[in-house]
Amino acid sequence: MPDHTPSRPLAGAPDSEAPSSTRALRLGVCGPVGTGKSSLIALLCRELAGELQLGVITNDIYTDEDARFLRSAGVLDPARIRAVETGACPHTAIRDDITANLIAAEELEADFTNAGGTGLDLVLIESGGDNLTATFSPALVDVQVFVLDVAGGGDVARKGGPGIERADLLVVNKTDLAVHVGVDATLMVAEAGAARDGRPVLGLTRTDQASVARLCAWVRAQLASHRIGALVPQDPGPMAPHFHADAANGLTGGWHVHDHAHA
Amino acid sequence: MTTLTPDRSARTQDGVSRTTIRLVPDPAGDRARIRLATDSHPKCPVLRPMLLDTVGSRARVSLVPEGAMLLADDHIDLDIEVGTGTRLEIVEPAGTVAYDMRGRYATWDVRLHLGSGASLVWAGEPLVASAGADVRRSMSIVLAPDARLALRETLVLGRYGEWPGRVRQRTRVHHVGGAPVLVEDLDLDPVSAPALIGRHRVVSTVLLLAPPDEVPIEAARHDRFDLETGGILWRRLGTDVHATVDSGCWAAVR
Amino acid sequence: MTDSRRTIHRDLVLMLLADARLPVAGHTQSATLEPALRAGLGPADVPGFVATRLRTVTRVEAATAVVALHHLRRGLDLSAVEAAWSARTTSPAMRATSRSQARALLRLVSRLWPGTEALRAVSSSTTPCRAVVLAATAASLDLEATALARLIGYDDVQTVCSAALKLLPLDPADVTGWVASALPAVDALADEVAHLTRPDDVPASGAPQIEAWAQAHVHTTRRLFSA
Repeated sequence: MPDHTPSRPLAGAPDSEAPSSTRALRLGVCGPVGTGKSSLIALLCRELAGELQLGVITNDIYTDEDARFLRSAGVLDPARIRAVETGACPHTAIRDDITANLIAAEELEADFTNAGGTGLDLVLIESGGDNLTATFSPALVDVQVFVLDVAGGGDVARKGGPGIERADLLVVNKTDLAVHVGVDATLMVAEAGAARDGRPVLGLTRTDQASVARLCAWVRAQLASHRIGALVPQDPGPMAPHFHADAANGLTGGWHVHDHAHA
Repeated sequence: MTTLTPDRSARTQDGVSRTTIRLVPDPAGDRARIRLATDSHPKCPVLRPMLLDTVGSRARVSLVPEGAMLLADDHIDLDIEVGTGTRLEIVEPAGTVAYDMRGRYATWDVRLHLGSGASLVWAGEPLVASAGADVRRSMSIVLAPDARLALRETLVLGRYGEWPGRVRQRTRVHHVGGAPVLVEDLDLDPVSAPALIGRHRVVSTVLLLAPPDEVPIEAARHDRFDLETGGILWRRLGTDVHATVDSGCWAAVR
Repeated sequence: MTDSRRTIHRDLVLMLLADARLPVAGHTQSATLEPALRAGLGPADVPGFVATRLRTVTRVEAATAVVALHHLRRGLDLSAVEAAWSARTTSPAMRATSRSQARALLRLVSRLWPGTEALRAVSSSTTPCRAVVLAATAASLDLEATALARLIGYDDVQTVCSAALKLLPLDPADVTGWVASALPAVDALADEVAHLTRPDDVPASGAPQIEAWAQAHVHTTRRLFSA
């Protein structure tokens, strides 16, 4: 009798059930409005599209503003870019009710697997610009980047907040503008590092190829970790300390239903 | 093509004016036989089918109203069969105005049956429901999945500047065998119309039911409703008949 | 195992399913209100819009769910129920929205109550509509037909009204008043459809304007809501 234990888990199984190495790495990008989330994603597409199969999901206030920006940037096949409506609740869509984004990610991944392709390596999920408290649910993304920029003020990083302190990577963007807005970019990155208890911080500007290379190297390292099943999503959320959710299906305790009043 | 002259000898006692059109393939060859008949009380108006021309298995028929219609207690009944492989075109010389019925109503019932490979093109003209009119319309269509139907209908609620009349429209389209294609009831009156059709008084539709390779490819448009089982309903809502009826769409599918 | 189970009141199940916090992407839905407002409806028209939906598209959905529940309880084939619904839902945008909502709901309830017969039955359909998945949920949780129909009516009213708060300058208390005012119509709808059992019985109450708005929304950029 042959052993029917599958050599690898089934592709397309619901997210948390299958070992993470079987599907694309889901990378979330969040942060306040105007800090350069879309530009960062366009940058990653431009740098990585040659080596990785990419997909992008945007969550803008008005459906498709970011999606249109990315499509017009010409860095990725428009079919790989999907927009999700959030009903004016960008925070909800990445945190309390991630259903629309999960379904979009699954459909995107399935479309590029079913079309005879090898499937996607990396799905970038861009949150709608929100305030400092918004972070992704670990049930939606495997790893997340929080984006600030120097123009938002040098003290923002020091102020902290869940994304700044505990996202997997904090990007301090537009460092080339620091001199124009009276911010010491080096100090801002250093203060962010202190607020993050050693978690990585990256000063970034598109014009500094070395910073771009560091960003790409970080993404590749996350993907490598994901592929061997070593990446465990961390929750930067307000209540910070990480706990491992029970991924078992079903309720832990059952119940019967009745429809009469208690005596 | 064999033609039977319309026959008005039979009279109905129930006040229903029946019109029958049957186009059936002639087993002897690739021609078709058409039967046109009416059955109505002499005092009742009737839709008289007039054969315009025939070629091979095709026929063109005009539905000519005989007597004033549409008034209270008029009961128009049309039974149309388009047999296997035959092609029928129906035209109407003019639209129909339903007048104030003062609490009574009129009925207008159509049954269509399209056999395998049959084709029906029906260029319906507007039905205008004047204030006070109450028309109960039904359209029951049974067609083979490989038949082709192009049907134009225009409903106008109220003559210009007038309150809407009432039209209760029941549409049932099924494939032979019973699978539903399009099932819809609309009950439009002065109270319900603003809710159901907004600030409009004209509902203009083109229904095309056809095998997938006969469905036109066109740019995405708001008024195109692709039905679940194939086929398309184009439906426009408007305030003016001429601006609402999509003659380009009809020209493309007829 | 069974002995360890608590007995709970059915009302609690209904509350769980009707709660806006249920993660089924409800916040992405406006029940066609967004395109309706874009087409010129104003705040004063919203209660009428709610009432129209209850008489038309929501009535079709509630009746479909009730008939699907009957079929599930008797192990009957659901395809005729799906076919009845889709033939009565002329707008492809509305069919797509329903199926997308169904997928979100099925994802959740399959996780919470895996292995129920009813959920297995609807999962075998590639793209069940929302009414059918709600029926399977009701079958799994032992909800009765009237409660299922009330749930659908209530959810539709709340979807419109909560979207109105995002889209229009309104006092939330006023909007909750609209919801409360619509409850008798929800109740009447439930009573009207709860006894239905045959796919042919599902009302075919079309709403051409709502269907046109639903289609227009698909072709609009800068949407806040998915539908």
